[in-house]
Amino acid sequence: MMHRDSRTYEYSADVSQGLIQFRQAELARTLDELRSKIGH
Amino acid sequence: MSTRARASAVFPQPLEQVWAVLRDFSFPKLIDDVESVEIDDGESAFAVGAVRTIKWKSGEVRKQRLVALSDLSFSISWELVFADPPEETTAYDSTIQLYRITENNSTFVSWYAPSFVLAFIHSFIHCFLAHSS
Repeated sequence: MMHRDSRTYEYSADVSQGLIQFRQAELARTLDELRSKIGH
Repeated sequence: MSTRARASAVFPQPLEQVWAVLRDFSFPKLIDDVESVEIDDGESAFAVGAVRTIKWKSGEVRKQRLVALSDLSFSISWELVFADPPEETTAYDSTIQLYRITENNSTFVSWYAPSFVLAFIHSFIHCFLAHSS
């Protein structure tokens, strides 16, 4: 039981971090695009 | 572990120029991947409560509601109210905040998206693994 709980936490943490990193990359890319559009 | 997506950038334009664009809730129309942005029900794009429908060229559709717009703090916030296909999270909100860089009259743009709903994912995965083993 302890082992399963530990594995579950690690897996869910990895998924969460992946989502955060994906979203951060998405935000950064959009900001870069907006910057170029506003400049013209 | 961070639960917040955050990105920031320095825009060379003055704050007033950047804010004039980003305070318009339909600003995603500037993004190449976006096919169209419409404000639902004929609402103003500057009215808190207005809902925008964003259609991506990929076919995705999202509806987002404007929940805060401040000309005092140069910030705009919205929340997701609908997504097709469904988002990996049940809901999220975003805030863009501008700051004047006085040194050279440029603008610091901060965009953050708290992901408190990730708790939902934790619960879902926990239940899934618990029942699959």
